[in-house]
Amino acid sequence: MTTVNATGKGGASSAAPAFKETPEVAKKFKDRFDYLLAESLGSKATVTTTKGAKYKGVLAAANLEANDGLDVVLKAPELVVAGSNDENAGKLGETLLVHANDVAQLDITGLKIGGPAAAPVKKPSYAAAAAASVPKKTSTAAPSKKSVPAKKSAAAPAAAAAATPSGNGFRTDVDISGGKNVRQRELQRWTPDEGDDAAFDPNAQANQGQTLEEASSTWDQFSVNEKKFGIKSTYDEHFYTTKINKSGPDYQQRLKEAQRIADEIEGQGAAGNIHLAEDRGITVDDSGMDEEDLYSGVDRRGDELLASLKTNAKPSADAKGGAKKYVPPTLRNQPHHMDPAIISSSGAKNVPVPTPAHKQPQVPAQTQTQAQPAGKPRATLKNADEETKKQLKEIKRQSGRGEHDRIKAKAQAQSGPKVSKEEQIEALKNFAQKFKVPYDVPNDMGNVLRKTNNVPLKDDPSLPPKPKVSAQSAQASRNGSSKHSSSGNTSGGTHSSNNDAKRSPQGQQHNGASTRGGSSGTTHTRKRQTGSFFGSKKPLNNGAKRETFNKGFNVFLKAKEAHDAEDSMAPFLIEKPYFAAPTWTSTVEKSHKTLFPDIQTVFQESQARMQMRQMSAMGGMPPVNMGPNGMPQFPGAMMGAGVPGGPGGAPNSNGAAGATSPNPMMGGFQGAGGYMPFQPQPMFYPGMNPMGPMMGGKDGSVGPNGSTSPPPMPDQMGYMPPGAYMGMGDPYGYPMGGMPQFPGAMMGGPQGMMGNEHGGSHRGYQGHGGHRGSRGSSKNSHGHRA
Amino acid sequence: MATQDNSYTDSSDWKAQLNIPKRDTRPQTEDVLGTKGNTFEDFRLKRDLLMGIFEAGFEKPSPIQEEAIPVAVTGRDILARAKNGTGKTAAFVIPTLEKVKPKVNKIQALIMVPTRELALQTSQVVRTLGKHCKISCMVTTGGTNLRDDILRLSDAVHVLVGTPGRILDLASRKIADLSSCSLFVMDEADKMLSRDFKTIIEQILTFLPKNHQSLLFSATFPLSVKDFMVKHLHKPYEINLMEELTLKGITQYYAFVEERQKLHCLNTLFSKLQINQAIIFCNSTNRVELLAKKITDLGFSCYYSHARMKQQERNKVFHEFRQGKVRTLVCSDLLTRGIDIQAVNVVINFDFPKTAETYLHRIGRSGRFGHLGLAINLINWNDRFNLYKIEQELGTEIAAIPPTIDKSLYVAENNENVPVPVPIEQQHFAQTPANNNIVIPPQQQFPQFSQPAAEPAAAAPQQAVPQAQQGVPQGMPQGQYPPQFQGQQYPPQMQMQMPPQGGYPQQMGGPQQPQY
Repeated sequence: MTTVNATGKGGASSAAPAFKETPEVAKKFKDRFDYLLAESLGSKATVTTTKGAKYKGVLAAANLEANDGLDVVLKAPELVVAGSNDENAGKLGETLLVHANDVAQLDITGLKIGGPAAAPVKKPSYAAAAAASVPKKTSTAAPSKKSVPAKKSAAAPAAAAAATPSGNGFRTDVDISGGKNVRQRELQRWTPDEGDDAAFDPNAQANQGQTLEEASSTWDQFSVNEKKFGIKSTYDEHFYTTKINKSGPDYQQRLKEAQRIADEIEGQGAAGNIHLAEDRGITVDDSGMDEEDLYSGVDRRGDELLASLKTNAKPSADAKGGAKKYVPPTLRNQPHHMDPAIISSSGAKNVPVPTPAHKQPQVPAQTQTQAQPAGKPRATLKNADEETKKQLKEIKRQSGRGEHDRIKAKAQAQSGPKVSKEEQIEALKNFAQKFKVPYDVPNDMGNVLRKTNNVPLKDDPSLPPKPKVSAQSAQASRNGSSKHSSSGNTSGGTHSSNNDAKRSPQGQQHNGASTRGGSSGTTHTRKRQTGSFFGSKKPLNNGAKRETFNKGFNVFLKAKEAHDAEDSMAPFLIEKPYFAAPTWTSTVEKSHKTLFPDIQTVFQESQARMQMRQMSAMGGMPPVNMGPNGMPQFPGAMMGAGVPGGPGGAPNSNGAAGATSPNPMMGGFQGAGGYMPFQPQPMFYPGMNPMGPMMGGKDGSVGPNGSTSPPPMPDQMGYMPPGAYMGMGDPYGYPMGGMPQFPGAMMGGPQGMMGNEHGGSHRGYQGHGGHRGSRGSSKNSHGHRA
Repeated sequence: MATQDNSYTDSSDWKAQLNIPKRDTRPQTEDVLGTKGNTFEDFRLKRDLLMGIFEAGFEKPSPIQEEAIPVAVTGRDILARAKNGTGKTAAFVIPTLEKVKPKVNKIQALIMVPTRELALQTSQVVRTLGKHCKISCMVTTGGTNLRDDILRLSDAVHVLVGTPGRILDLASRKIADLSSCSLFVMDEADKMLSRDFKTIIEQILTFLPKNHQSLLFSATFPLSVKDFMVKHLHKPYEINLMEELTLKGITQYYAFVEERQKLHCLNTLFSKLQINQAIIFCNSTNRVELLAKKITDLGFSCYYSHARMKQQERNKVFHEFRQGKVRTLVCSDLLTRGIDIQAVNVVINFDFPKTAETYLHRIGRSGRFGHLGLAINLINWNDRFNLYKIEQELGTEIAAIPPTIDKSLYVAENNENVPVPVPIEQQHFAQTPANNNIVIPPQQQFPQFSQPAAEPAAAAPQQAVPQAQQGVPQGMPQGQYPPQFQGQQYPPQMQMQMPPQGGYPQQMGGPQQPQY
């Protein structure tokens, strides 16, 4: 007998010691598992479902290809224990199919392996109990294949522990506990005492207050405890750490220097490492991780490489290969909270709040003030009723908030009372036109852009299920996009990033930086005929324009101009422009000035925000913008915060993501607040040609293949924002100075920095840390050396 | 009591001069008593250090200390595991202090821990034990003013305690010069070698001298750390004192409830249990805050802490809870590891954790240093499998909660001398002899706790909002008692070490068995 433990969603995974499995080993396991299953057909089986019901029957079939484990078919099913809210209690037919995600456990009794002699050992048991019992069984059984017990005992902690008392390295927890058999038993319900007071009566209406599901949880524990219980705090950090010597004569100077270094450190990205980000004071969206993952649990996926492989491979592996392949319990994804209360309470937190003030104090007020007027003039929303309009505005206002929230809000807008379908569609179209993605777009956005149909919300079981975007809304916005080609990608982007946020445990980040980027992005939104950019007409070689172009893009000239315009007392400095304009010079139809705010505006903005005095180089921004199929994309918005993967992020070469106009990067500058870090070294100006290497790889996925990048061709893919590239290439942001062969690399840095100045952070910043670092120490100047 | 201690002389004058704190007379388990019988003097430690050790209230090394200290002093790498709360911290702090030379103004030891609170706590242990060693110990963690830390590093720092992210930043810029740091310590090593931390750690290691000594400690090692061992440790001396994972002194129960009953159940527990101090764990930050609010609404003083709070507030909460000012702490897994609060005798898992190591560390917040404690898990339907899984990984079976819980399982008869850690700075101006009438069991101040305990079987006539009692501040002598505590009683010690003629009303002469 054995227990085939086909866990559903990681519920009953057994505990096995960690050992790394080579593909061969994994294959052996799989084979053995398959073999066991094949052998067990026709045996008596008991299936426990995730609802708690138990069915007994004869195992008729099992589908190894199931998405989420093992589909099981029982003949002559019989209900043994009824589960909670069991729906098919009354109607058991001749066969019963239990879907993989309902299967919590499958016990097979009386299994004969390798011969007729095996006496059925009745010992239904739990996961690793099986492991222990299998070998036992074979000893009673007649000659049987050794491989079968070997399979389980290999995984069996008990066996492992016994075999290696301590000789083979340091013992793990399970080695010590011996993985004793713990029976899966009926739990004994807790019952409230008689006469308990009514406040906790679960049926009372007031009971609402007795669960932890309120949306808002902010309260001041110190004042409440002081008021109610008279508790005052006496904390002083000098209980724990050293005192600062403030007496030295050079204290002020040291203070300044320390501040400078501190700013520098905290200004850098965190290379996607959440703990690094934490210590650098970067707010990270750790929605994919709870504090157990962060501070207490040990990640069972092993080291970084392994984990990233597993994480990335998950959607497909889980979907297809999951069932086919034997996955050792330790490597199965850890079960996360399936606790409805937690889900609902955390969900409640995300309910859109009309005034996002206290939740996101970092959102600058100007976001709202800017975003709204920007939307108004072009409000073509005629049919949609007032309500929808309001909702849309609401959505816009929240653009700095979680994508998830926005989707939700959108869904709400959808379900708004009595809005006819057409109006909805119209509203959505309108929304799609106006909508800007105001924050980083995750690097695998490209993938998702391609398959917006399917929103695989279940990708990551680590996350609480979130309300799905209603298919309708997705549909509608896609319709919108097909008609208004300009809108397609933005709305697509919305979905995709939402997806991504769910998929990647590191999550993404939206905060002040991105919000700001988004809002200023609106300032240079123009009505653009998408497709007209490179559309049918070939760019003409126009001498006059070239003249303008050359002038407008000459950093030195523009810097001079800017300098003259400014107070002349300031020393003349040329900033480092982090990237070059597009190299095709003659496709420009309009002066950049028509597309971008004039220098004064940019100045004012940047000064006001950053109190940095230079900004001039940006004035000479190229007038380029839309991608081939026209993606207004609000490059600033996305790039502003150093989009990983970029809008076109993933120029997934199917053109869907034409998101790749050359100047997302430019936009990025402005978007991020028009702030250029002070960089007096003009040599970093990459010029026109060196830009080549910035081109995104075709697959837009990972790996900087930029060194061999193709010459910039307008109708080819787009540019990867180099920041993103660097990010992926450089997991630590520290010493690994990135890729020096990658001239464009430096550009990633500043963008990221800008983002970070605003407290932004994102995986995409990974590279930037390094860049930043390079200013302080010579260790890791990848960008600069390039 | 302290004066009695002083009368005891060990033929050496210096010992007579020490301010040895009042002993913790609570019963202890074999987890900390099963030693070979060495004394701290046997380790040939320097006098200054021994003074600090005794003044901290240590009398005799615990098993892990007995194993680790002599080996660590010889300079060998150590990979050690020992149960929660059995003295691991001192097991690496003592050799650290022994090896650091106060006259060399360089960072000579680096201690890394996963959380900021733990860094504070560890630093305090270093300062307490090294009180006479003239060693300066600095904490550097995220969430604090980086500028200040940079300034601090321009003065002499011998021991640097912190979290990896900040240390990496300081080290990589040479602000913290680790080139002479020959001792590298990781507490909670399994977590530190978990994925995200590991990358940082490995970068930090590049700044240390090549032949540094490494000490790795934890109570759990769910995964093999062999890779790291092979790569970074040199012939590590492995210490494994665990034949089982769970502490002997902790009794574990589950209460199988529906989600919406949890609060009700908790309230019942509050009314029935005799809680010194309790830590309640929730699985999300939102729930932490909500639950803490509910608990204050129910009339119990309660702080909460989680990682999304400002560090200043976190420190405040941590500090005050350690001082025993608040009876209940609701927190996330931020405080799951390492936090040592002697007075905690009840841990409640309001939400059940995902992993066995988290579970083990959580329940290890009670039953510190071999004392008795209670762990209660509220389990809902969805947690069942996790319960089984964790039971299995830990090799223990958790029983259903009985209607009444025997007090002897978790309540010491005499709580008077449960040590409250006293900030080291404060002890300097507490030069007057200990003044016993101030010794407060922080917990006894709140009638709502002791009252129900007096009638434990009574069916919890607890009103939802017994505000009437709470309206008046309950008269904690705020700010008063720390100065009066004489020596800080940081980790407590075993009773058996004291000579019988010391005049203690001591019922156990040798390693006593837990009373259950």
